[in-house]
Amino acid sequence: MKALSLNPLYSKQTEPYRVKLGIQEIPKKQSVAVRFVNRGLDKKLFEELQKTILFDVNNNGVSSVSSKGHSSDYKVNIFFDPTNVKAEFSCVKKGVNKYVEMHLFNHLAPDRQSCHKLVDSITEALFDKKGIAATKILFTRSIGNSTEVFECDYDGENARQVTFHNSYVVTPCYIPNGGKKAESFLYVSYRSGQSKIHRVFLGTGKDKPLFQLSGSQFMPAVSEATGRIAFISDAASNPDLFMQNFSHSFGLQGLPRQIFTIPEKTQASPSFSPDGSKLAFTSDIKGTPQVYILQTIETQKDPSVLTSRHRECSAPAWSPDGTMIAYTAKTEGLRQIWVHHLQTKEDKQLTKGAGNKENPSWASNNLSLVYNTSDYNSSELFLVHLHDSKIVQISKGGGDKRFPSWGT
Amino acid sequence: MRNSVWIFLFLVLLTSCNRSHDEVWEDTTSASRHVTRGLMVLGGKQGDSREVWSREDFLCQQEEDLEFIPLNQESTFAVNDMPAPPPPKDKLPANQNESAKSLERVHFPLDSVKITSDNLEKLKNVVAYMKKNPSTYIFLEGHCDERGPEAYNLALGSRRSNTVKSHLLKEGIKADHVFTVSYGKGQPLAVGHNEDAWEKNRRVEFRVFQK
Repeated sequence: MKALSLNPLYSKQTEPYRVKLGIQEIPKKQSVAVRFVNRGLDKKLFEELQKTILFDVNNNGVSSVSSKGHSSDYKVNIFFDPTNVKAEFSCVKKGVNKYVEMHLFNHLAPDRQSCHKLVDSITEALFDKKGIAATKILFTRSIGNSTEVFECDYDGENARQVTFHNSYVVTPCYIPNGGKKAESFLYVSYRSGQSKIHRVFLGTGKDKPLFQLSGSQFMPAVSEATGRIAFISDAASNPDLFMQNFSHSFGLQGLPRQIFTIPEKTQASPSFSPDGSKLAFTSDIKGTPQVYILQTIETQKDPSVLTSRHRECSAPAWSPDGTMIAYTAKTEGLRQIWVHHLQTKEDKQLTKGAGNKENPSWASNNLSLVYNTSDYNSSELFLVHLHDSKIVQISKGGGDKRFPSWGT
Repeated sequence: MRNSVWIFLFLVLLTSCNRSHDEVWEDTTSASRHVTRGLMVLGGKQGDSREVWSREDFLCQQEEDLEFIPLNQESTFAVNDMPAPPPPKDKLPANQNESAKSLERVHFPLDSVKITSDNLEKLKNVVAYMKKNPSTYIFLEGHCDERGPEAYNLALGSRRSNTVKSHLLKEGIKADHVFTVSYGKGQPLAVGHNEDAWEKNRRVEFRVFQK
C-alpha cells in the first residue's frame, strides 16, 4: 500500500494511508488505543459498558481498537464514575485534545445508549465522520407462526417489538426525519388477509394502513428530498412500480401513480437515490431478476440495467451519499452482497463464504451495511464494512430475522 | 354549526398533547376533511360542480373514481398539492368466515407463471364452485420455492396469484369476489431441499370464504 501525499501540510509518514479497494479510495481504519479506568461503577456494569465501547470503536467504519496499547496516534482514556462516564481523547498530529461526558443511570440499557453517544462524539471529533453507534435498525422476526417488526440498537442490543399484529409482516423501512431520529416507519402487514403498507408512530405505537389501494402492496421506500413514497402494488393486476406524493407531516397527497410496468414481468424492491430523482429496483424484464435504474421525474425513459456482471441481481439499496448501490447477486451458487460504484462502474464483492446473504441496508456513514442471511436453518442479521469486509453477527435469540432497515 | 366544528377541532387538539406533531396534524386534517364533507352532504352538495358540454363529458369517469393514475396517463387535475381523496369503500369482505371447502391448489414450473394444461382442469372446478356459490369470496395465495431472492419472490408470488385471478375473471367470476396475496417463499408447503419439494412449493392456494 502506497502512502499518497494529498495535502502538502502532511509528510508521507503522517498522511493517512488511502487504499483503493476496487470501488473508491476510502480512509483505512485508524488504530485507536483505548484505556478504561473504573472509579467506583458496579463491576459487572463496567464490564458490559467496556464491551459496548470496544464494539463501537471497532464498528464505526473508521477505526479499530489498537492491540499495541498506547503506541497509536489516537488515544482515548475512558473514566467511569458511579454517575457519569468521561472520555478524554487526543491525536497529537491532528492537534485534537478534547473530552466528552455522558450521564450514567446505573442501568445497563440506558447506560449503553450513553456509551454509544460517547463513541459517536469521539468518532466525529477525531475522524470528522458521522458516528453510527446511536443508530437503530428495524427488522422482522418470526415468533411461532407469525412475524413482527422489531427495533434494536445497531449492535443488536435492546431489541424491542414494535408491531403487535399476530400476523405476517415484511419489509419495514424508516420514514426519514431530516437527519433526526425517525418518529415513524412503514411496514407491510397481512392482518387483513392481503399485504398492506402500514405506518407506525414509534412514540405512541399508533398503527394504521397508509393506502386504501386495492390489491397487495409491498416494499415501501421513502424519498425525503422529493416527498414521495415508492412501492410495489398489484392494483393493476401485475406487481408494478408505483409512486405517490407523501409529506412527513401531512401524509399522502394526490393519487398513487403507476410509474413502471411490463406485462407479465415482475418488479420489486424500489430504492430512491438520495435526491429522489432516480429509483433503483429489481425486475425480470429479460427473464432473470436484475437491478435497473429509472428516472422518477416526468420523462418516461426506459430503465437502464445497473450492471451486467451477474446473471441474477436483486434487492438494490442506494447509499446515503448517492455514489454507490449495494445489491445481492448470485455468486458461485450463493447470494452474496456486492456494491456497485456509480461513477467508476466497478463492482466489489463484500461478503464471501457459506450461506446466502440478502437485503442489504446502508448506515448513514456510507461505510457500513446490515443484511440478513437466508438459509433454511438460520436467518440472522450481520454488519459488514466497506474497508475490510469483516462480518459481525448482531442478532440474538431465536426466530428468523429478515429485511433489516438501518435508520439514523 | 360552524362554531361546533371549531369546538370539535379544538377538543381534538387538546386531547392530543401527548402525541407527536405529525400524529396531531394528521388527525386534525383528516377529521376536518370528514366533517366538511359531511356538512356538504347535509347541505345537498355531493361534490364539486362543473359544466358539461357533451354527453361524453357527462358520462366520462371522474378523477375521483380513479384509484390510481395508470402509466402514461397525465392527470387533468393538479393533484400534487391536494390532500389524498377519502378512502374508497373497503373492498375486503368484512365478515370472513372461512369455508371448509378445499379447492385443489395449482402448481407452476420454475421461474414461470404460466398456467399449464394440468391446472386448467383444477381451475374449471374453482370456477364451477364459485358460480354455484355466488356469495363465496376467494383468496388466491401465491407462493415460491426457496431458491429465489426473498423480496423478489414476494412479487413473483403476486404475479402467480394474479395470473390465476385473470383466468377466473375471464371465466366470468366477479372481480370483487377474488383477492390476491403473496407469501413469496415464506410459507413453504414442503420443507425439503430437492426438486420434489420445490415443485410443491411453487403454487397458488385457494382459501374460500362465505359472506
